[in-house]
Amino acid sequence: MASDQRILDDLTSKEYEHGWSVDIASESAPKGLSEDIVKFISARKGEPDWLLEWRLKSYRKWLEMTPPEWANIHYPAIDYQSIIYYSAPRQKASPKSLEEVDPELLKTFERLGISLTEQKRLSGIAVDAVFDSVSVATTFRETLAELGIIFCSFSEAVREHPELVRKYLGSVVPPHDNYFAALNSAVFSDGSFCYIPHGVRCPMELSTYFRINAANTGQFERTLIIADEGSYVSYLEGCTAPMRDENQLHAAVVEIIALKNAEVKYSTVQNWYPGDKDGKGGIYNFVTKRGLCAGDHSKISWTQVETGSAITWKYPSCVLKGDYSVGEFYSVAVTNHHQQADTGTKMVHIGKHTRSRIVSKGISAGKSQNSYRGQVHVMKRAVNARNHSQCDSLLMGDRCGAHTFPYIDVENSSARVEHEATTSKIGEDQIFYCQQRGMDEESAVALIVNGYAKEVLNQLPMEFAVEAQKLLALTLEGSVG
Amino acid sequence: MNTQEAIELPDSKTESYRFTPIARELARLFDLTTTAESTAPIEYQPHLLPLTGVHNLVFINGKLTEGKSLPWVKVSDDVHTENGLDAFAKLNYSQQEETVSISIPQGTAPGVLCIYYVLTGKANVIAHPRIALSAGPDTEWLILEKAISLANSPTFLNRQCTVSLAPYARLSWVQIQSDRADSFQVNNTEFRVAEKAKFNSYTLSTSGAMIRNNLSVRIVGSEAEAHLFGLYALSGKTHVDNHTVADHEQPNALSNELYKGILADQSKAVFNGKIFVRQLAQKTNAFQSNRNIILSDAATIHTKPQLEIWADDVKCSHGCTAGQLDDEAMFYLRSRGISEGKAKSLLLHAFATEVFESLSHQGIRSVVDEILEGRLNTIA
Amino acid sequence: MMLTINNLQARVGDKAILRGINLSVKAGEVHAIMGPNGSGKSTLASVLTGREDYEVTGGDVTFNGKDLLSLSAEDRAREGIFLAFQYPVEIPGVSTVNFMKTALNQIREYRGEQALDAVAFLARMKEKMKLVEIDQSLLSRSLNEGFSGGEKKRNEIFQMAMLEPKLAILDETDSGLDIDALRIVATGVNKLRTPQNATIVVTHYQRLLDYIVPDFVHVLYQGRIVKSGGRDLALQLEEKGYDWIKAEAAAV
Repeated sequence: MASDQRILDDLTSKEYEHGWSVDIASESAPKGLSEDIVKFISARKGEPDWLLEWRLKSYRKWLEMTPPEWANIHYPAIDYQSIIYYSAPRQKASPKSLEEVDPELLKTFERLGISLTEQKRLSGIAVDAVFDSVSVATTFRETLAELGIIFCSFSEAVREHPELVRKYLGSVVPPHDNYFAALNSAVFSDGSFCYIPHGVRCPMELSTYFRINAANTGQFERTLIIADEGSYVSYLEGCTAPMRDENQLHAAVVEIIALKNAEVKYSTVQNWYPGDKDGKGGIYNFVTKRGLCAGDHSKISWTQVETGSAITWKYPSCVLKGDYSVGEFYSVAVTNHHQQADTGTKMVHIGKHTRSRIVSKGISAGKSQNSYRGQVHVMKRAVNARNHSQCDSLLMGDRCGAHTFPYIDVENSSARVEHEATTSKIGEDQIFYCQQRGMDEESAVALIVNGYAKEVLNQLPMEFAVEAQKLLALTLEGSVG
Repeated sequence: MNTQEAIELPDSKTESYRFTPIARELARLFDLTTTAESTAPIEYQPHLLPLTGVHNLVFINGKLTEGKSLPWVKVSDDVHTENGLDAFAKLNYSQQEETVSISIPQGTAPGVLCIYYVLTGKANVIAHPRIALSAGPDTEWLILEKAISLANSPTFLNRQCTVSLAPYARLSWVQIQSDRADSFQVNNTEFRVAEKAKFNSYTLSTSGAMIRNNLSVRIVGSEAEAHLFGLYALSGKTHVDNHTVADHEQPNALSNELYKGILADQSKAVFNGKIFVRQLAQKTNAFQSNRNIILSDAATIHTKPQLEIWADDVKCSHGCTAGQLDDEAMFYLRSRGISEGKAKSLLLHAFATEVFESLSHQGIRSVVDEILEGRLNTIA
Repeated sequence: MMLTINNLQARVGDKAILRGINLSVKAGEVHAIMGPNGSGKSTLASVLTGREDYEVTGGDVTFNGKDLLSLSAEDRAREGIFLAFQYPVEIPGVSTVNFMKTALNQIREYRGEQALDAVAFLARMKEKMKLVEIDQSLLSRSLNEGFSGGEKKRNEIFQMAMLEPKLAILDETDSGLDIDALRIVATGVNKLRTPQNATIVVTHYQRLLDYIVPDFVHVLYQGRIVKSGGRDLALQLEEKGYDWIKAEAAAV
């Protein structure tokens, strides 16, 4: 189309909606990383000795490791000594009620559409709000407690449920798993903890909302979800950050354990600040997410909509250890301007009759690079393992790239593994058809892209699906191809 | 011949050799810093393929022995200093001075050229043949390659080949890899396909200790066509690793790749197929498919198709599967009174023959079919 | 006059396809444009609706007083021009319902009307579905994906009913239809006829005109309208083919 170039050149993206920051008194650790900083964080949180030891061991491990270089992403070396590893809004150590929470903080989350106050709570969703390094409030706790569900900040879990934390922390993602996991294990500041007891079906969506506010600050949260036998929980994660010229580091770890017959559904809408249209600023998102289907007939399902971050390095995975366990991964990753995403999943089939399903939809526009990287590994004893993977890429414009790197390793003769991938562009005839029915080009593209991603969007809880659709349209605004 | 500096071959820490520890195996069995000198004359004729009306080139331990008199064959001593060569190419250059150049000029009548690599000797039998072939405009040729180990010890063939197709050239390239169980091979082959040229490659691997094929096709002209076919049907401990690249640098071209595998016993296969579509290469069609049947729990397949695309107006797809013979089909055949073994070999045959459907040369097609048939009957 | 085409010329690349078309259409009229393959029939439909593959090299088109050629494709649609495509495209993951809702509300916004809420939209949809005997389950599926030829064409007429255009252009709507599907499609089109709207039927064969009876028939040949007449002209073409037209044109 003749107008392509014009529209591409015109590329004026709508400003990042959540790019403001608030002035909240905070206390921070000094810049840089050392054993003293690790001790400082641990002391600040009043942690038991075993946890401090665990952190220090992780830190020493990290010192021996090097950043992974295999991903299809390019960025200048990160100066780990110029980052602040701990920043917390100045407030009472552990607010007993919302009245004790700084009203500025509550307003911050209100502005993000996350209400923490009793009257305006999102119906049916319990939220743990994490601001910079710490959890500031968790809603609906009493309701959940009646069912025996524990949903609280990670720090609180360390104090109140040390036996659970100690048993499971690092059991799915050990500290030495990779460079960023080791870093997180050393300096993680807070995050969410969730335990669903035997036979309980969690009646509402549990949600963590992450917000980076302070400058020069890394966010290193840690989430641990344990679904006991026969339980079910659906978990949502959202995130935003202010617009800043420099890059900020986010290195989180999420661990999920699903015991016998348990099911965990984990959904993410990732909207960290992606940097401006010239590629300045933005979050470096290096995240390790892994679930262990420990028990027979357990199921872990990851759904992600990735629209933000300057760099995304993220592979939510499932270790299918229990017989008949199921792993799923549904992903939409959109990149525009100078964004780089290297994302996908790993499905490790260990148990018999294990099944996995992968649906990945990549959309690249502008000068971005979008990679799918996934592994399906069927081990020797995984009799009758099944996998089906579908990876599609959509390109908008000829200055972006789409890359697919699936690794398939099969060591069992009864396994069936199928992988399909396609790459295409939005058809000019599709756009014309929409225009002939009265739609402008932008709406036509939004409609077609949402249709393309529908299989994944359908996996999201209702409230999130609507949000995600809007985000897709917003991210691609102006990038008609 | 001795190399001054030791060439470090890629070990399992190198991503592209992660599953193929050929450096370790070679280090265990050979002294790579020397090459066996040609031995006394050897009776190789009975081992050549029963083909008539074809030209033969025979290398013995890497040196061209038969076929020197063909008008378009030339042996030259050029010491290559090209950068970016991989370790096996460097090894080849360091041990072999001869490059055999084959240039088929425009106007040459269609023909078939068979290239045999005979390996012979008592110990440390290594050969580093090197070929540069160019197919002139409008020519239509078929090249066949086969290694023949007649040694008393393990053999290692490290062959280098660069091939260029001029505009409108049509070239088929057949590699038959059915050598002894103690033979090792590394085949580095690069094809450059010019405007409107048409290229077909067929790689059949049925036996050997360990085989690594690096086959890359660069589409350097628009409206070119490249079809890459491969079949590996393996048993015992045979290990075959196919690394292929289809690199689209120019627009309106087609690449189509179909590799199939059948794995029995403790055999292992690695498939890595890369498709690159560069920014200039708009209107590219690039397809790739890798299908595997695993017959034994001790067999392993590692497959990694890879698409990297920088142009938007393209149609690209890849697919790969690992699985078994269709139970339904097996049952159907058996219900008609066919034994399980026979049913298996019938279905395997049906699975495999698709790969060679477009191989139109009758003589070579029947050679391929015969090797395949024998192979599948013993596997099933 | 609703539509006035004056000396319209267009080309693709170096190839001139329309070489001076003149045509006037009044509200309430049905015009049939016939002609042998490659005469420029589908090009005319594409140029009128604003497809960018064609370059207009001369002439002008006025639609209800507006300079049509200066409008974008979507604005032409919003002004009331509807094209029933010869080959409707598939859009995976987008249901016809969702598609129509998006389109209808953008058109309404352009005209300064309020968006239809879900209830009103559904009511309108149910009403129009009956017209073309289309099943709701079809409308919930991805647009045109896996539809049969007949289903696609019926879907086009359903969309036409939903959008209530002033001028409908049916591009080879009869191609690929069996006689029952043809009847259903034609009945739908006839039911939608009012004194306020007009229809241009582009077709190679006259059989569609048995069902959608035209007021005027024009024969397009080598990018020009070489003959115009009434209903009879279509029958004459049916009987004698296009050769005599070609001969007449050559003689001029």
